[in-house]
Amino acid sequence: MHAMPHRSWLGWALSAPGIIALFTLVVGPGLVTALLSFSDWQFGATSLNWIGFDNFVAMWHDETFRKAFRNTLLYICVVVPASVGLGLMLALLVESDPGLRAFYRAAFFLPVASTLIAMAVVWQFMLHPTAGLVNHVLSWFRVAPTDWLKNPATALWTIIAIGVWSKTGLAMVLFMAGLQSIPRDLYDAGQIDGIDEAWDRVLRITVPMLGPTTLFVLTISAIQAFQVFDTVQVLTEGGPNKTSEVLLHLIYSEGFSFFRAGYAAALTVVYLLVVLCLIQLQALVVERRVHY
Amino acid sequence: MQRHLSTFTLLGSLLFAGAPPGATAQATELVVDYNIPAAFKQVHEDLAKAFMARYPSVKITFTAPTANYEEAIQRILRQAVTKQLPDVSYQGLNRQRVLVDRSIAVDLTPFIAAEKDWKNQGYDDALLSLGQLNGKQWSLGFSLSTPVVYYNLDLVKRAGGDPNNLPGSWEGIIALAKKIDAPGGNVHGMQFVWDITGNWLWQALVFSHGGSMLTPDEKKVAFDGPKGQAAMKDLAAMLKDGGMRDISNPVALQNFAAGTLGIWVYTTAAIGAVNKQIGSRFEFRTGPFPIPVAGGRVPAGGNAVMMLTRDPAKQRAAWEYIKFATGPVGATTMVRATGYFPANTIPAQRADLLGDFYKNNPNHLTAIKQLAYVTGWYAFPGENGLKVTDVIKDQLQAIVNRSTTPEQGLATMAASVQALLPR
Repeated sequence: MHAMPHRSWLGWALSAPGIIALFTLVVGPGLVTALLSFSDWQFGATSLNWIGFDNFVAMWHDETFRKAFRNTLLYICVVVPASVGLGLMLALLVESDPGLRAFYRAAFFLPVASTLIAMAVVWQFMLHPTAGLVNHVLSWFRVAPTDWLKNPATALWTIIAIGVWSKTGLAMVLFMAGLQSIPRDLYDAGQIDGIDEAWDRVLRITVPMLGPTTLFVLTISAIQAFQVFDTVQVLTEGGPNKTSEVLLHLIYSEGFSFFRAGYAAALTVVYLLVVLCLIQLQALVVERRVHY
Repeated sequence: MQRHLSTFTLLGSLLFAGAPPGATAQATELVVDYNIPAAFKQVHEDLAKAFMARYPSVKITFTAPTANYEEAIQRILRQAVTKQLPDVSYQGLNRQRVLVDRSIAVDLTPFIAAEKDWKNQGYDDALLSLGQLNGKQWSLGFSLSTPVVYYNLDLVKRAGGDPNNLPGSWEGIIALAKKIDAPGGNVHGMQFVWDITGNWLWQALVFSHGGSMLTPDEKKVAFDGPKGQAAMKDLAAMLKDGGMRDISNPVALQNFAAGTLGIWVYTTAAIGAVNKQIGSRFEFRTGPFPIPVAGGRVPAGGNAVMMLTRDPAKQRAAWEYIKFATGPVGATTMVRATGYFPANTIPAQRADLLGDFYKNNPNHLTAIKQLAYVTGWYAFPGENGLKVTDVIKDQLQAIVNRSTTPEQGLATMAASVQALLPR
């Protein structure tokens, strides 16, 4: 038993860098943000007042916050299932054609590998109301042109479509990795047991075996979707009239454009709580149905 | 040091004095921060070179320029917290208020009071007022702009208008726009760029009717009164009869440069860029922003230069630099490179500086003629000051995309702004 105190000392010493980093980079700033959410601190001001829950009360009555919250939820609810579903479909298709696998993998992964801000600028050109490719192509099908990013009815859906486009590649690559790890014998055994149809094979073997991968992909996609910011900042700035406002962009505008840092901190607290809840909920719901 | 500084003051008053002072004391370093490098990088570098040639004991160092007014003010506020402020900073005219409220800017009133020859240095009262708040002088204007009306003369002629007798009123402009506009076609009547940062053109409409954003005590909204309603009627008429669309300004600029937009209400600062894009494909002319009532005004946009350093030695050097940048030499360099006009009256009066330039470039002259009735770019008071700007922008957007009526939009705008004012 002589070794115990020494070993525990060594353990603390070895984990110290990690613990210090965790506290200075994650826990500390988190606590400061939580504290600031009870103040009226203005970005750059040298003093502040403690105002209790006023920021949270204001948030409750803030129409912009409600819009941003609704939009963010809608964004997640569409982008996550769509990108995960499309990603799985693409992975299956690409896997089935060994010849062009490398090409397709690279092509569909490109949006993930490139900077989304740069890609957003490309989208801006494509969506240009008069000279853009999108309106041009749609005119062949007699669809009336519109200013996709300035029309209140289409702005958020355009952002969502770009979100699906940029997230699908990642889901695809992760699913392809998952597919590789399914043992071949299962398919052989299935064939002996009479699974002949390709569709049957997918439903009875591939999809259940991809359970852990799917959980991972869903979690990653949901968290990433919740972080939607760059496309909104570059393409719409939340407009027109906040129809494409999302939480992270709202936090940025309040804190860094309007300098209402206390209010932005309160928004951040709510944002973090929602992320935590989402992760918990997802783990609870999905983990029950996953076969390990 | 003392002797050297008196030389400074002497030179400051004689703007074109001959010999520079000998480099006696050790160099004073001035850190200067500016914005919009696309327009101003060359200007500032040339100015710094000229300044250092005249004052060898001062060394000008630039921080990396910020892209726009928003970033410019954000960086200063961050630096105020980390105590890394530059000594001199260029800021958007409507962003000065934050720096004054946070006690970051240095009051320039004592420096002006110490000038022996201030009256003859070209800073007239209307231009100085742009940098005044609470009865003190916080900045000197550097590059100024006013709202002007751009006309595509080809389209004006085709619609039966007289290029030498352009309309002066909104009724006239809207009627002309209606004639230019070809519904369903490729040619559009007019565009009023309502979404310029800081509600600039909305302020222009209200001020031109003699109105103001708030009551004089800044406690209550004033733009919903009769003068604001008149301003809103003008905007409604542009939307109803002028062929104005819900498009972003980059699109309007492309349209105007492509020759498919007849009348474009924008800032004089764009003349240089528009000249370059249009080349000789068609002729355009600028006209004044209409002033419907006597005593109506237009807000000035642009950059002002502020002193931030608290070190007395640096302050003296900074004051010389500020006067140099905003004085005849700085103004001449700046105007030749951009579409802005200076906050100093001397260069336009002298043929060797800008007199000939304005004679040969009448489009630039429109803004100069508006100087007589220019006023400040209003910044709302209190901690929600910048949020108010955003609320107004949202209501204007709702009016322009026809999701609300102008009357209803104005009422909502007034109510939501009132809720954000300090009580």
